[in-house]
Parts: sequence; C-alpha cells; structure tokens
Amino acid sequence: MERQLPGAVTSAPSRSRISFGLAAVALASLLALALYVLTMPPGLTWWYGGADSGDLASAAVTLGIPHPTGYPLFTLLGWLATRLPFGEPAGRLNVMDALIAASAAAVTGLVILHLNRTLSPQRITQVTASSGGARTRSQRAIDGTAPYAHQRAATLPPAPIAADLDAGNRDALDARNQAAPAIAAVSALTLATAGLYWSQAIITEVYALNALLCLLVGWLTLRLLEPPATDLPAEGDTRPDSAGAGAGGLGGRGAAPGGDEAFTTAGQPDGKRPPLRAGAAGRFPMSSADARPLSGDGAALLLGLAQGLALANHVTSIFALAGTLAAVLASGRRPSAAAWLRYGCGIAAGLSFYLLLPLRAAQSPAANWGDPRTPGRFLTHVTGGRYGGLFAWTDVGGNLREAVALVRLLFGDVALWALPAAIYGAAQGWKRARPAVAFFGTLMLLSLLFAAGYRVGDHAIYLLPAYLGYVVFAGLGLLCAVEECVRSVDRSRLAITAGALSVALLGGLATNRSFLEHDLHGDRTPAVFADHVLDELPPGATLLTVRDDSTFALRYAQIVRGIRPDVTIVNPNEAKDRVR
Amino acid sequence: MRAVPWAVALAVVVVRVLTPPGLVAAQSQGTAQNVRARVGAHGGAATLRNVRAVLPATSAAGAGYLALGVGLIPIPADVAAAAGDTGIVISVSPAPRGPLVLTILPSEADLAAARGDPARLAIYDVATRRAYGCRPAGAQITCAAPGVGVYLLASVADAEFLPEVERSAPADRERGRIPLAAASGVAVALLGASLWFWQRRSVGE
Repeated sequence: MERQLPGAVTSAPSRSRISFGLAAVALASLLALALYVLTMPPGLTWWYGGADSGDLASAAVTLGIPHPTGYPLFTLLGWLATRLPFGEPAGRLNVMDALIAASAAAVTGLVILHLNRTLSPQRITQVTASSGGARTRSQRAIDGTAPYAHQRAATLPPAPIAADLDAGNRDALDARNQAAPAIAAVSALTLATAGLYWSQAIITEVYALNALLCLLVGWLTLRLLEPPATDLPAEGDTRPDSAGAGAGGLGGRGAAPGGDEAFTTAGQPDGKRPPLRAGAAGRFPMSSADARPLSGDGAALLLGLAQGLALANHVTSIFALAGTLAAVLASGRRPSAAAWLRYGCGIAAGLSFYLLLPLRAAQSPAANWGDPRTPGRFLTHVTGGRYGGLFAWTDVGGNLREAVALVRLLFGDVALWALPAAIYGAAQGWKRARPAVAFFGTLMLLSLLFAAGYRVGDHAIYLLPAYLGYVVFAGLGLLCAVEECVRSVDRSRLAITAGALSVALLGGLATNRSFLEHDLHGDRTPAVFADHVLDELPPGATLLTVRDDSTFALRYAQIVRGIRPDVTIVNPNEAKDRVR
Repeated sequence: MRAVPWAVALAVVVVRVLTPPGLVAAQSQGTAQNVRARVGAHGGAATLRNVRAVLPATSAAGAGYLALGVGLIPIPADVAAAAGDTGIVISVSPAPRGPLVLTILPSEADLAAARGDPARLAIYDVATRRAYGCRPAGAQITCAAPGVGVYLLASVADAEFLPEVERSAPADRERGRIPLAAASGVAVALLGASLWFWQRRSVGE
C-alpha cells in the first residue's frame, strides 16, 4: 500500500502496482511470442530480407563463419539453439529469434515503466502561476518549462505554492502511475506487432537480437543516468526536500543511492549536485518495492558489456553507443575517468566474442566465409569492407528521398495511435526526460540516415532501431497525456477510458493486419527450390548461382541437410573473398 | 493538454498525406522498382567478367549451370531497352559448352508452362541482336545458346511477375488463417483494454 505523504508532492507506484507492471509486460511479451510462433516459417524463408538466413543457419549449425561481419554472438546463440530437440535447425533458429524479439518487446515495457518512475513533473505550478504574479526562474524550473528543469538548481517554492502543488498534481501523478502498467504493456505489444519488427521476429536473422541489445543499452543507460529512488522519507516527514532527495540518481545530498559516485554533475566541482527539492528533482520517492538503482561501478561495466555484446552481433549497434554518449551529454552529468574505464572494459569483454571467428576458422568448419584466420582477413571480415562501397555518401538527393520513404514506412507500419503519441511524447520528453529523448532520438536519427544511404535491396531493415525509439516516444506520450488529462480535463476518467479503448482498438487492428502480412507458417519455398535444383544435377556438377537467396538456400541444403555434397556451388559475386 | 489537439491534427495530416497503404504493398512496389533501378544503375559488364573469371577454375568437374532462383542480375542498358517497359531481362552469361540449363523456381516454370507460350522466352545475343528460342521443361529452361555474351529475355516475367511469386509464399490469402488473424487482433485489443480496467479494480486507490 502506498504511503501517503501529506504536504509532499509525491505519488509513487505502490508495490502492487510495480508488480502489476512487470506482470503486464510479461503478459504482453508472451502474447507476442504466441503470435510469432503462429506465423513463423518451419525453416528457411526468402521473405523479409531472409536471403541471408541460409548462411546464418549454416554457420550456426556448424559453429562456423557466416558472411561479413561475422556475427559471432548470433552464431554462438544459434549454435546453442540448434541443439534443441525439435523441428529442423532453421526452424529452431526462428524460435530463438521469436524469443529474442518478444524479450525485446518486454524491455520496451521496462523502459516505459522506468520513464514513469523517473519522469519529471509537468507544469506543476500551473494553478499558482495563473493566480497572479510573474513566475520566477525557479518556478519555471519546477514546472518543467525551463530547459531540462531538473538539471538545474531550484529553490523550494513558498509554502502556499507547495500546497497547491500537492493538490494539483497528486491526482495527475496517481493517474499516470495507475496507467503506467497498461501503457508499458501496450507499448511492448505495439512494437511487437509493428510490421517490420514482426517480419524480423520470425526469420533467422540478426536484427531482432540487435533490437534487444540496443534496447538493453538504452535501458541501462537510463538506469545509470536516472536511477529510480529507493529511499522513502521518514514517516511523517513532509519536507519537500526529503521527498526529492536521493531520487535524482546523483543524490540530493552528495552521492546517489546505490553508490553512484562515479558520476558527477557538470559545473559542480565538488561532485555534488545542489539539493534537489520536491518537484525540482523531477522524481518522486518510490516504495521499497521499486527496482534498486544500479551501482555506479556495476552499472558502467554492465552498460559497456551490453554495448560490446551488441557490437558483437551487428556493427550498426554503434548507433546505440552514440545514443549513450548523447544521453550523458543531455543529462549534464560528467562520468569519471574510472567510469569510462569500466565502460570500456565492458565493451572489450563483449567484443571478445569476435575471437570466435579466427578460432573456428582455424578448425575449417563447413561454413567458413572468408577464412578469417589471418589478421588481414579477420579485419576485412569483421569490418565488412566489401560492403563499404554500397553506402551512397554523396547522393544527398537520393538519400533524402529514401529517408522520406522510410519515414512513411515507419508511420504506416506501426499502430496509428503511436504517431500523435510519439510526437507528444518526444516534445514532452525533451523537457522532462531529456536523456531518454537524447538516446532514442539519436538511435532513430542515425538508423534513418544509415538506412537511407545504404544501397541494398533490403535496406529498410536497418530502420528497425528507429522503431524502438518511435514506440518508446509513443509510450512516453501516453504517460504524459494521462497526466495532463487528469490535470486539465473535467471528465478526465471518461476521456482516459475512451483513449485507452481507442488505443486498444487501433492496436488490435494493426495486429490483425500484421498477422496476415507476415503469416509464413506454410512457406517452404527455399527448401523446395533447393531440393528441386540439386536433385536434377548430374554428379560432380558445378552450379553457378547469382543471388544470395538461392546460394545460401542451396548451401544450407548441402551443409545442414546433407543433400548432394558432390555439387560445387559457386556464386561469382562472392568467389573472390570466400574460401571453401 | 494544449499540445494534444495539435499533435493529433498534425498526425492526421501526416498520415493522410504520407502513409503508404501497407508494408507488403510497399515491398511489392519496391521489387518492381528495384528491377528498373538495377537496370539503370549497373550495366552488366562486371557480372560478365566475374563469371568468366570463375568458370575455368570451377567448371572443370562438370557442366556449368546457372541457378537464378527468383533473382535478377544486372544487365546492360541496351538490353534493358530491348526488353521494353514491362520486360525483365535475365543475363545468363557466358554460355557454357553444350546446352545452357537455366534453373528457376518451380512455380515460375509452372506458370510459364501454363501460359503455354514458350516463344516469349528467348536467348538474346547482344552481338548479333538475334533472339533464340528456349524450351521450358519442368523447372528448367534449356536454350540453344549461341555462345558467350548472351542474354535471356524472359518477358514472361513481366513487371508484376516476380512480386507475385514472392508474395505467393505467405499465407495471407489462405481463408483459414483470416479468423486466426482476427482473433490475434482481438486478443491484443482485449489485453490492452482489460489491463487498464483490471488494474484499476485490483490496485487502484
């Protein structure tokens, strides 16, 4: 049961509500997994950029080397997944990807729950400000209209204003906390049922894992920069500063709870932030059931490890690294050298998975693209040098047109309610959760630019990280909208209920559409193709292939299913850098 | 609250003006566009050189075969022009010794055979600008290739053909799956709505 703090501007999620939030996110994730299982193909597919699936599956089964950049983390996880005793190997990998994608949707829900716990208040002095008198800078800082208010020193408002704060905002914050579990679950489902995301959740590809790791990096970054508070003020302590102290992650009185001494606030030579008052701190004391903040030492290392693992899966996860840096800058916090060192060590630990490539190449596995056992070939392979020329650096006009097309795809691919909510959420988040906006905004922007400039047929896949930011912004928008609705609308309960039903309806419609568009449960085209082609060839034939989809499907049939190993398959486009 | 109507209005405008009809439709359009884009963007000389470079070393064990799958490879602009606006040109170069066997998807061959118009498949010799007939047989089309530097004009695969082949795989046209898709939509909608009402009853204060 939530403790009431008379006189303090606080409304914390109760233990039951936090548990409910986690359960709701888990339920949404399970539902997403069920949808994926219903629609996934039994094996390889050529749909939705699945041309590389045969190569990835062959490498996973043999613990070998797939095409650049090697994808060692996916290969290792895939190798474990293919040990499972059901279906064909590619089908097991599809299940693995579905589990990963459902988990990523759950992390999206966790990000929303975290944002709810750390969101700074909105126009908290709206009533008092309109009652007369010019608003001071501190008031503007409190009400969130000053730039990133909670990063600035703010003074305690006069007692009458504090009373108004309590009266005017407790209901709004209660409503937001009340709605947060449902919003987190709906956000998770919205990501899970977005077309492009769904398409990557049911095929053997690396992009679902990339999404999961980017989200983990974002979640850890936010938890490191803005940990939820854990210390409640003493019973009966109605001092506003006691409500805000410790809730800011850096600590209202020196070090933050959880030993977050690794970060200091920019502009504070002594490493201590000025005392953060209720409202100004922008966070509210949590119940003891709230998640514990990460410690400074462990958090930096864990964040680095997640980033390193992400890079060991796909190089475009470097956009998440840029997002982390942007979030740090936006937070106004200055990590210590030791924190950077721990962060770097974590990244190095994750990157060490790349050692799998030369180690396995030396053992000549059946799938051994590029044979990266020498330093030169290893570097060429992991940097994807052969693909570098595919990026159109100088075609500004073409890139712009592609960017517009990709934005159109994003808008049309996610449930319709997300668009206004994301716009509102991004605008509110810039004032109230700037590190989150910095992280996910950077991730979105860089993903969009890369996808627009990369001249390959399935370039839209690289937009997937932008979906993550889009849905997080949408969830953030719903949180803020609920709060604002209670504050400003007379019949707020009716309005919020109508909004919830609308969101549920639009989500259902989007799910129905995505289900039909991505139902591959009967797709066996690559297997049929490979069987048909290989069966008719004379003994010892050389088969020239001209595209990745046919090449990899045929090789998968040979390596994994053992069909016609006497046939030599040659793709002229890859022959020069592939050693078999 | 002032921002909400603004955001909704802006969103409606954006959706009305910008949003494409759907991902599958966009992908189908994209495939057709890719055909034209590849014709314009590449030229085919690089592909020809690659094939020539590989053949002597790799085809010694047996005859050479070219598996095209559902794919296209780049072609010269003049051949593309010969194919017309709706034609798709598939290069099969160089022709190996003996008959050239072009292996394509069974569904493509079936469709070609069903149309009963093998004359629409032809080898196109760039040097002589002469077309040669081909003989579809099952999943393979055997052509009397005249030599190195030939191209197959598969005008049977018109601009809508390839997307149709690719789209035949998902089960979105299976009537039996439509109720399941609707049920999934209802499940998501019910979950979202019930979470809202349930948590208000169970943990609301």
